[in-house]
Amino acid sequence: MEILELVKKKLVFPNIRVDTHEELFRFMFTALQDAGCVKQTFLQGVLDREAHFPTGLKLTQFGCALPHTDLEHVITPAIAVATLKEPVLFKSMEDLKTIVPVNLVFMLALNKPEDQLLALKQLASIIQNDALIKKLIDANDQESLFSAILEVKKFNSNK
Amino acid sequence: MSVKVLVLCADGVATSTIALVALREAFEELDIQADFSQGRVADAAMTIEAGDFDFIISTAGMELDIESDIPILSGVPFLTGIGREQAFEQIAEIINKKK
Repeated sequence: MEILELVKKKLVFPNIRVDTHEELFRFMFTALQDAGCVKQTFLQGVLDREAHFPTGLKLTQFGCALPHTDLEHVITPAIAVATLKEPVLFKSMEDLKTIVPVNLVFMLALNKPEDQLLALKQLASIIQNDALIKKLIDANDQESLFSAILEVKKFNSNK
Repeated sequence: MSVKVLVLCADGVATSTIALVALREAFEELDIQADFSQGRVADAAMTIEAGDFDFIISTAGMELDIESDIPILSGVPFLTGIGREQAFEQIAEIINKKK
């Protein structure tokens, strides 16, 4: 499966302005909940997991985060995407004491363990490509962010 | 000679698998025989008792709650590509010491 299939246009949010990752999580959760993808418990699940096992990843030019939680909080699988011109601070996956400024967030709402693995595997390969990441971050409206995602998807399936 | 590697992540399934596959491929190319185990960071203390590991790779932090001098390396370079070379250098050092 092409994991980016799970990104729907109404779940992409370019240039979000928030002060904290909690605020960002609440925003993305609300969109996922309105779309009928996640249960009420999803938000606390993501916050708890991020506190214990943070997902901030420092890339060459940017920072990325892949917040997710246990499968039981999910109704139908989806991935929400947000970009931030003013980065928000995450803890590093590598070390709880390291802070990573993040400009790109993929919030994973998945309900099968094999999808979780597939999603992280495909996203790991995507985030190693600076040009693709820059394209996503440079998109200023929902339409262009969604077409940038379609481009990334094409790149990913051609590999 | 064969090296024993324990690969850990938060849930013992996802990012540890990605790191494990990357390592396995690299080891095959270098003709290094390796025996991989996989687990959750929360179970690290129990898991290391069961095996004689040469080193641990963790994608969920390197401060593990274990009483052991087994070297612990970050698995994040295998997800982001950043610091991959250095990680392999560290691994090579560990393997060379063993020889």
